[in-house]
Amino acid sequence: MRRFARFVSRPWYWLAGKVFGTWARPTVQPDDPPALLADCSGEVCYVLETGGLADTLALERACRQHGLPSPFEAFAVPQRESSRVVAFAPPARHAGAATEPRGLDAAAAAGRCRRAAS
Amino acid sequence: MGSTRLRRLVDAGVLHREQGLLLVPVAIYWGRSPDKERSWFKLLFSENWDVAGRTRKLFATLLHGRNTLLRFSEPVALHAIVQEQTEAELAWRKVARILRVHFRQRRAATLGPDLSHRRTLVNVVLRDPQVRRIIGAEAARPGRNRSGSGKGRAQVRARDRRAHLLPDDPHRRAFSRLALEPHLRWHRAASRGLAGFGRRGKGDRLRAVPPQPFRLPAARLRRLPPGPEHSARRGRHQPEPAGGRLDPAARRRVLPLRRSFKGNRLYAAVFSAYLHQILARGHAIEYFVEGGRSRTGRLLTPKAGMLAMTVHSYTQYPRRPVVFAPVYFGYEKLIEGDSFISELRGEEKKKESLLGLIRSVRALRDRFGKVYVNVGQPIDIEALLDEARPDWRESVRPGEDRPTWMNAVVDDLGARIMTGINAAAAVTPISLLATTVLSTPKQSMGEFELMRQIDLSRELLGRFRYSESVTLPDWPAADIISHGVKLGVIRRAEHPLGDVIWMPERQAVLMTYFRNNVQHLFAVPASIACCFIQGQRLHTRNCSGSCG
Repeated sequence: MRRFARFVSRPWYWLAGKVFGTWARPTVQPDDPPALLADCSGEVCYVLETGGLADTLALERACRQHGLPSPFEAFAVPQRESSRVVAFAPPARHAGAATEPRGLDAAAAAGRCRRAAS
Repeated sequence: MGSTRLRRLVDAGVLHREQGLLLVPVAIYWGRSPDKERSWFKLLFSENWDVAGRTRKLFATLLHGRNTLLRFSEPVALHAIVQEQTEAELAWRKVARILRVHFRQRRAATLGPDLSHRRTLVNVVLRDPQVRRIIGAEAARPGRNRSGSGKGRAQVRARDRRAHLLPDDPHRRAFSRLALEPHLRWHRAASRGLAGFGRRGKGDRLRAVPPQPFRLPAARLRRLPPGPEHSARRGRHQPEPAGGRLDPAARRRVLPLRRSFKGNRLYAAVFSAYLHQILARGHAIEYFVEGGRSRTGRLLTPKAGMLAMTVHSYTQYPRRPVVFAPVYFGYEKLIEGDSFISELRGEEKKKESLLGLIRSVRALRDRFGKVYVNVGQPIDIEALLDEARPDWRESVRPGEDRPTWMNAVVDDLGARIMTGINAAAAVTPISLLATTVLSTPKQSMGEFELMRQIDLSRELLGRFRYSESVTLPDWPAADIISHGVKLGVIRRAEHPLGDVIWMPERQAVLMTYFRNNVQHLFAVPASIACCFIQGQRLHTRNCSGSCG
């Protein structure tokens, strides 16, 4: 199923990237992003603030320009998703939806962590 | 906060530590590239603190595809923040906290701080201890009833009204919109000295202090990240006829303040508390040192009101570093030329009116040349206080009145700002013309002589550097003259033996402003030259004694 989703999504991302590339020209800072990863070793995973297709395509374009691993490249850390890009706080999908954890769940989670830390 | 996918990723990273997971935060801002912005419509969809929905994001992508900033940050190595025995739950919370703080700080550094609702701000101002104390003192005066009806209630209403005179909903997009103003008729402003401040932007709060409130080029400063979002102006607090203001945008960017606070302690306290809130929240502010420049273009002794409030506010909560940035504006033509001439003749300064605003539209059709914006050396307020009063942190308590020793610090700060503005002077082609032509008895000169004199003046300024921030025009003298003719500052009278350049009487009066703007740069070379008027030789000791 996952392979099928990947098979379907690849051409879609490719097409969207082509359309996006004709128009968008993001300014990248710092000038040499690979220098940030020069002293590090490990699997790179990009964390976007809110995510979305446009952000992912902008990131993919910047990575391609600067020789960084593509957000769509295969990922060595075993997990459900295969892409290297995740959103930290994706916008709610519909009115009333919320990112997790929230409210009492968050408070309970914080309490559990504090106990674990002590 | 934090997505399920990220959480699953962190869990997987903790489970398979040997893989070494590197999280690279990437912030993308649509419509926030460090560039010029010309379209009002685009600004509606530029990046801000609101969460953008899909439609808004689509428009932002379409409109700002070429005005987008993508910022990579230092990678966060999961194995570096997670110990051997750390549970996945704790690791997730650590990662989430780091990313949350990081993205918030990045956003604040790029877009400016999150601005609160006006009502919240007004409530905080009214809860200020000093404001409450003065309200109490006012209510306790004979004839005032603190809690009852009648005058007491009326006073509370007046207080609320006063607080609500503060500007509302200061939104970044509204400020950004004003940055478009200079494009009306002014050529692109030449800015120098801004690069150094861009690097300071993350933690420090900038107070840009230009000498004189000419509105249009002041907007240029707003392009500096983080740009001044507020501009303090005197005499703009009065509600206009028809219940609104003449300039609705001004309402969003101006901290209106009265010309005088005398005899109104409550107003002074409310304004001071409001300014403190603005500063404490980390907004960059631009204000004009009142009394900064005379109508003849000379710098005057600064009035310390706003400076004193800023210093006092900082000493009460010295958490955010405050840096004053002296800003020099070099003009080539004055938009207020007529009113300057009438004021120099002794007439009263005219108040702004709707009719005046409509009339001023005609003036925008004229050529105004270029505006030069130079930023001087920053003045760190903490260093200044440490130098003047090493124990200032212990001697100032929140909510207390301003201590008397602070007056000397504020005076010193004002003098340094003014010196900083002078040290960042931009010698414009017009100021060179003004200096040269006004030194002749009849404001006229042969073209060849004028060209030689311009070159000489420029060489003098180049050899005697008043400061490193002073900028000189690198145009040929002939181009400077033709630029002056184009702007209508000088005129050319053709003559078979060589053209004569002359300055009309009205222009000569206005040009004194530009000459006086840069006159301090010539002071030392001119003093030395004066020493040699009587003789060709002079002892070094006598020469330096004469120049002071």
